[in-house]
Amino acid sequence: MRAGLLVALLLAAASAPAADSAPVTNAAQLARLTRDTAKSLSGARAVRGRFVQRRQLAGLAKPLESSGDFLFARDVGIEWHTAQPFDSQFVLTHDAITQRDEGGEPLHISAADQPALTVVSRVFFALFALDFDALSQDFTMAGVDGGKEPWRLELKPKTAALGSVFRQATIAGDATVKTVTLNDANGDSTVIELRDVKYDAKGLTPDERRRF
Amino acid sequence: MRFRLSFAAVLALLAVFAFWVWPRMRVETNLLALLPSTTENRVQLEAVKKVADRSSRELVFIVGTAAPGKLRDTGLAFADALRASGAFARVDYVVDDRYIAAARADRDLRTGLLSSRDRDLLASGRVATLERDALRAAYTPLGFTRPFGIADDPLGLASSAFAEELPGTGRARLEGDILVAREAANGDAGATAGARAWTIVRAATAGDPYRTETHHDVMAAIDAARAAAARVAPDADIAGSGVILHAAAAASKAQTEVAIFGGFDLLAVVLLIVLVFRQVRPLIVTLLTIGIATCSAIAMCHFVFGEVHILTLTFGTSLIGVSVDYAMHYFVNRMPSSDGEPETHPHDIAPALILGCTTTVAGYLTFLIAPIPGLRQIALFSATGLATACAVVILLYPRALDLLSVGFRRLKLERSTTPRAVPRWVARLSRRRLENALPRAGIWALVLVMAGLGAAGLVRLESRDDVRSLQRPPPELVAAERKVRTLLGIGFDTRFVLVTAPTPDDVLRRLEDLDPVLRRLVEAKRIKGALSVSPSLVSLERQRADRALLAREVYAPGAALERVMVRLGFDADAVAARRAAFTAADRKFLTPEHWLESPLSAPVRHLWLGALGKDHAAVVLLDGNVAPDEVRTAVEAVPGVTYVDQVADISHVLGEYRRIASWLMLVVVTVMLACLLVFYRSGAAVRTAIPAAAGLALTLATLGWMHEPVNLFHVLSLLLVLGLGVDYAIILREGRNQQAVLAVFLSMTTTLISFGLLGFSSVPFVRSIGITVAFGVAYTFLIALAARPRTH
Repeated sequence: MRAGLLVALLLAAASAPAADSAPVTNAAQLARLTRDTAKSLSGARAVRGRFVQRRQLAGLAKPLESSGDFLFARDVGIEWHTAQPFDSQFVLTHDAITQRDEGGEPLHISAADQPALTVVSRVFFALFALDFDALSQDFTMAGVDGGKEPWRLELKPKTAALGSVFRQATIAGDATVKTVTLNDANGDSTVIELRDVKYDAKGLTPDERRRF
Repeated sequence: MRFRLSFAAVLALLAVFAFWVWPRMRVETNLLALLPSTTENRVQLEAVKKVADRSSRELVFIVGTAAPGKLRDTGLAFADALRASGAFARVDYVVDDRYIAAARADRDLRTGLLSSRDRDLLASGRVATLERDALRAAYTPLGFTRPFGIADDPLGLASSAFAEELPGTGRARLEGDILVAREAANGDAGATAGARAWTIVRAATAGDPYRTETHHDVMAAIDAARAAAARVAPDADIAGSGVILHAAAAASKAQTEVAIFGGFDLLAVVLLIVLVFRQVRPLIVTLLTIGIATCSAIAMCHFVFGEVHILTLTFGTSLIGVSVDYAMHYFVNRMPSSDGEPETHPHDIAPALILGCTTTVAGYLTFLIAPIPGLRQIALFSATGLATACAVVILLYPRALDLLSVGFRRLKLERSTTPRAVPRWVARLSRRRLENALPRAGIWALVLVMAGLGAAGLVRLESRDDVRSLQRPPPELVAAERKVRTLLGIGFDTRFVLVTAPTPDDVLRRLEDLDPVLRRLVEAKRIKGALSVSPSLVSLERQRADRALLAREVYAPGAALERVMVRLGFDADAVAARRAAFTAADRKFLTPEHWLESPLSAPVRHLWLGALGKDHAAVVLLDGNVAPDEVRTAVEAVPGVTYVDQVADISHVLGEYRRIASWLMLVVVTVMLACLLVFYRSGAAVRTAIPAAAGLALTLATLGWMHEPVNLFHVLSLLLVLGLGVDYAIILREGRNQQAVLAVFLSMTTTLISFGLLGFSSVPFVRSIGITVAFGVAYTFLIALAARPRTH
């Protein structure tokens, strides 16, 4: 799969060297651009992997780095398990956020109480699932072919509501999503690198299901 | 001289009506105007009015489609069409960033605001929990849910205060920039294909929600918006909820009823006159009399109340049937008797007309005892109309008819001026007597049977004092409202909590005292939630206390702020800058004036009532109030807090006045009997009073047999029947035999038709009055006829 993509990209690069960073915005072109990722994603009920998150805060020289592993379960939610610098489990579903860590009382925020929460969770779900339908409702998308990564998508919020949370999001990858960059409205930016991403058509194990 | 003066008065009345009243006339359609003033507490009354006025403008629509990609555009088409109509002052659909933008703009005023959780943590020394949350937000996706950045709000205090003050959206979720609610899937939690998704559009009318023009504009705009939505998604389904929809439905129904009842009434009167009198003059003169009576009644209401209620007009159609009586008595009196009867000369009927008019007007005036504005207007309308009709007949008729007759003969409209004789069948009816037709034992048997049936009916009689006797919304509106409520998962009802205090800040303090009580009620599942201006608007006292807490626990050297910022790697300058910002905002407080101007107050602004007499007030709405008594006790334990349940209060008032009216009825019967005893010999007095009294009893018995629960309006109608019934008996006694029978027959027929039509009204209390009076006059007529004096 990955070899096939590389060959295709090499051929594309050879035949159209000028296409280095010409943006494509047409939905069909976007889909073609990311089709291999999308294809592997579409069959997957679950996606597992590790992450490194670097958060650059306005007024700080050094980014705040955290790492751990994640689990994306289609139609269920996202589990974001931070291992470093402390152990913390963040579970996002369509209706709520729950955060648990050792020694502390769990924090539960329901979407009914905080309408803005659903905006954030929708974006996260769509980013991980590369759900173009959902993403195109919220963002204008520009795809960039070539460059350092095989493909890169730049997303700008369409709506003022989302614009008050994210200024821009960028996703890049090859056969899998590799990095997600989020620039929030406060001037902070977060780069999330995903590693060892594995697609699983079978879905969650019973043990995993219990975490949601 | 008398004629000229009266004629001039009538002309003046018509001129005032045509040039002053008619152009300024305001038809009120607010059903609330009917509702009784339930309390002596003026502040509470004002509050109820203010809350109702504000909420009456608000509308909520749900726009649904099963086409997944089209939901946003369907809602947008609907909202845009509403906006384009100009009928709405506000249409909210797309959610933008106005709240967070306003909160960011007010950053300095908001430095001292705390969410209840954070306040508890700080006050109870659990500041470590806050610090841990702050670190979690910095390193995990939790940070994305915070509207203020970490550098600006390291502990997330401003973020959680902001999140707490925005009201929840119930079952609706923000998807992109629209609110979406999905129908609960049956059984399986997974999203079912083809399930309808709904989006929410809110609007507020531009015009007065109780003006008919506003109804037309709003209903036309909604229809156009439905069509616009259907163009985007053919399966678009729209349900709306709002007081104005009820007002519009009630008003348009009332208008139809006025037209139908009025039309039938007039037709019946015209037919009766043509059949009985067979002359043009009586017809024209009678119609003119009805017209003059109606104009004076409307003018009176206009001057006394400043408006005419649509239901007064509905009820007012009965004036046609009642005011026509006096004219008919007059014409009947001029009729020669039919074959064989010894001829007597027409006599002056003025005394009988005045006596009859007085008893009927007295009947209407009893409506005034109930503190129900709508009913008072009806009473004044009818009494004025009747008195005018009576005056016109007595003061104008003889001369006016003579003058008309000259004119008519010149125009060859009328061949003879001699009135037609009393129809034969009336003559026969007037000769027939119950005493002659039945043996004495038979009469007693009949009386006993009637008494038995009556008693059985009276035993079945039950009463129900329910606000539903005043208004009953159309079922399709109720269904739409239930749909909206279920889908949104929020159900505020008419019961609310009123908080009053001498100053705005005292109101806020009391609201803050109420907050923990409400939270406990939510935890105990007595209510699902509450909507209040608190915590969006905070009392100065609390703002000061929270600042003191922040200064001690967060901004002090080495305290939470410094610890968290240092952990995250901020330098000393950054910490100093945050501290300086806190100190700089020291004297800046969030005031009600500033808050009211801010977009942040929009969701709950209508709950802040402001100055109310000498006091200030705010209301709190309750969601899912399942234990009203418990809730009342709990909230009223807080000083200055009143639990307001309009519906229960109104039902209570209706019950109280039903009892008062029932006693009044007994008093009236007694007084009437006393009066008649003074006028007539004792036996005749009893004979005059019996038909009305027996008619009342039989009417009540009929209501018992019909299983129609009796309420205030039935009892008041019985008082009216009493007035009309005595009228019949007086005329039968005073008038010449045949003519009296005819006059009473005509009078009863027109009244029966008028009130019988009201019996078909969609407004429950108009219907109650209609059926009660219809049965009442029919019974009274029959008994009066049977019991009329043998000789005259």
